[in-house]
This record gives sequence, structure tokens and C-alpha cells, in this order.
Amino acid sequence: MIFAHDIPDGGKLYFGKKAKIKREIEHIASEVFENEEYEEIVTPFFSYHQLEALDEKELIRCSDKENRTLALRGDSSIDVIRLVIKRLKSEAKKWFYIQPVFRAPSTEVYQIGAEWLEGDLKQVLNTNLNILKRVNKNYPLVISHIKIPEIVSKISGVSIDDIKKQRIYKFNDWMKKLLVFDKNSKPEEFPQEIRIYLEEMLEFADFDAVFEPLYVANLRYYDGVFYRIINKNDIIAKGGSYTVEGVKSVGFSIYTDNLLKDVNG
Amino acid sequence: MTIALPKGRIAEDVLAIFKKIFDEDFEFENRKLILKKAGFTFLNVRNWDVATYVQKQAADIGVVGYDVITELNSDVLELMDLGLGKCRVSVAGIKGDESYKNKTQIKVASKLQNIAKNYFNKKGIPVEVIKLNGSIELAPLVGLSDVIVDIVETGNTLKENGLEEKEVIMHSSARLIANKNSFSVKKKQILEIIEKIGQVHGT
Repeated sequence: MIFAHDIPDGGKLYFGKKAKIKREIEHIASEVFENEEYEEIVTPFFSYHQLEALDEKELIRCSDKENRTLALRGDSSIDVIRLVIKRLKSEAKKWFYIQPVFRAPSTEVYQIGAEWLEGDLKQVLNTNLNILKRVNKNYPLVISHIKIPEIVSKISGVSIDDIKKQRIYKFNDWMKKLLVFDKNSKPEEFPQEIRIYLEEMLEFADFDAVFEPLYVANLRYYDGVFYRIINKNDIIAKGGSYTVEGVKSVGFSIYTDNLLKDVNG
Repeated sequence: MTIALPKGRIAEDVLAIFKKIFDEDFEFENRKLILKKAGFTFLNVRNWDVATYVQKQAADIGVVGYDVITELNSDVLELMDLGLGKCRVSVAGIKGDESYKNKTQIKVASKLQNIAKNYFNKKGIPVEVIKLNGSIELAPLVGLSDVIVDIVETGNTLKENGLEEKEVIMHSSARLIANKNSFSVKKKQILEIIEKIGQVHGT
């Protein structure tokens, strides 16, 4: 039975003070983006290309008039880059969006995001941190690399599932050392196959961050260093580098709903 | 640091390990569910709820059987095998009766629905899993199921009811689990605990 007050699981309802704070956060973010010369984009809710970003079981799907599969946007990055390159043919490289994404069966996720074609991840991370600073928030930052767990699995024989679950009792000595990898660690003390990627992570040593080279991410299109900004049990933001339509780009998403839980105005 | 422990034997064993590490008593008084000592907060929760407390970060780490986290498909880190509470999850049935192997669809009674379903699915055997909450051994004796999937420690309960272990699905023991974000921000403390447990208890 559906009651008159019911909303679907995963639906978001903001009103009064919370709705006002949400609007203010989005306004602050847009100011930061404009100061840093980002262009705004609002993309269609429906998309043909979501499978590049997400597993089909996460998508809310339907059909167009020719019975081709569409999905409600489950991720903004792929569409933003594709539309900028293929449809707008714009010269602008820095774009931001403030719009929700949708996941099956009925989850809504409000996001504030940025994509920078041929951009620099450190600068994009600074933009992300600037927005959080403007709302007086400073959260733990975790830096990882999408390629390291896969290579470690290959050279150590420890399965990717064991690495994902951090079954330390199956790790060899250098894998255990990777658990405590920090900005003072030396990549040359680790197997040659992962040194270059550890060095890429260490380029972020000037940030106050936790380094987690063995973190296995469920992020389909990131291809290098990526980061998470966390608070309690939530992800506040995620960012990383990726290649779409042959263009190496960087970007991030702030999970507005998670940030709102922690901002009281 | 908050630690969720399952009620009963495993909690006692883990608290005994902490007693060895810190050289002081760790005991839940009477019916209290929270114990605060030496900078730790211990929560005394039901076995099946430990992973939920940890996944939702009501606890940073916890101790729970591998069978339970496998059944629940819990999104937690499984940092350490404590080797406590060793058991098997097995297919069992009436002694000497192998007829279930020739059926086009097997009826399986179990509390561990997902483990049972995944096991037979992987073998390509159609299966109907009947969820029971206890006394699983009764099901094949009264024709409710062809076989059962259940936890086996010594096998005595099976024997006493005219059943036998037919296939071992997995071996289980207690694991030290951690919340993902807690592990990121409290890594040093958590790894220290693991090291100390390893020193007094082994891995």
C-alpha cells in the first residue's frame, strides 16, 4: 500500500531551511567556478551513452521513438565531455554543472561537478577544496590510483577481490608496506611496475591527504590518480582523470546531499 | 575506536585477547551492551548485526564469521582472519541418500539463502531455496527439502539426526572487519590493533 505521504526509496525532499542551504551551497559553488573561468552547462536528463559510465543494473532505462535504449542520466561527466566536443564544438575547456543524477530503481543524487578538458587534476582538486572551504568545511582527503591494485594483483598473485576487501593476511611484505604508504615513502622500495604510478600519487604530497594505493574503486572511466573526500560514512566528493573521445580530461563531483547532511547553515 | 563484537563465545575470546594485550579485564557487566575501556568502546551485538554496525559506521571495526559476511554480501574490509569459531558451510542430507544429485531441481532448506543459491547456481543446478530460521536438520527428514545448507562444526547434530555432510561449500572463521572510511582515517590505530592481536594470538 502506498500512503499519501510516501515518496519513492532514494527520493530527495528538501524544504525550508535545508532547501535554502542547498541553494546557497550551489550558489557558492557557481561563484567559485565563475571566478575560475568555468562555463556552465545543463545536460539532458535522458542519455544514450550512460553504459560507458555505469553498469546497466544501475541505470533507469526506457526507449526513444525508434525503440533505442535511453537511460536517465546516471553520471554527468561522460555526457558533458561528449556534448562539449561533439555537439557544441566549443573552444571552452572548463565546464561546471549543478544537476542531479539518477540510479535504479529510484535514487536521486544532487551533484555539483566540474570537467576540465586537457586540465590538471591538482588544480581541479584545489577548486573542489575551495568550494568546501567557502562552506567552512575541511574533510579528510584520500588519494588513490586506479591502475595500482590491478598491477599489484597481477604481480603478487593476490586476487583483486582480496585486495578490494583488504585481506591483509594474504598480503606479502611490500603490499603491507603499501598500506602505510605516505608522502615520505619512496617509490623505489616497491616493484618497478607500480613505481611510476606511486610517483604520480606523490605529486599530491603537498595536499594534506591520506594515500591509499591499494584502494579498489568502482569507477568505470577514471584512468589515473583519483581522490575521495570523505566525512564519517559518506563520500563528500570524488575526482580524477579520464579519457573521453580521445581527450584526456579531469573532473570532480560533489555529492550535495551528503554535504547538506553536515551543513546546518 | 568503537568495536562491535558478537554476543557469546567469540566476544569472550576477543575480550580475552584484549585482556592479554592491555593486561586488564575486559568484561561486559551484567546485561550492559556497551563497555568502555582503554580508549575503546565495545558494543555487544547479535552475530548477524555486527557487519551492519560496521558498514554503517556505528562501529569502526568488528568481529564476525566469514559465513555471515558472505551471506550478507557486506561492504566492509576483512582485515584479519582471527581463526576463532572455525566451521564449514556444507550441503547435508539423509545418510546414504544421493538421489538429490539426479533431480532436475533441488529443494534446499537453509538459513544461508544466498550462499546456497550461489553455490548451486555456479554448478548450473536449478535450485529452490526454502528459508528457515532454525532446526534446519528437520527439513529433509520430513520431506520439506532434498538437502540442507548449514553450518557444520563437529557434525554431531547431523549424525544424531541420521544426516551426513555431503559437500563442503566453504570454510569459515571469525574475521576482523573494518568500515572503509574508518580504515582510511584511523588506519594507524587499526593496523596497531591488528599487529598486537597478531603478537598475542597469532593470525
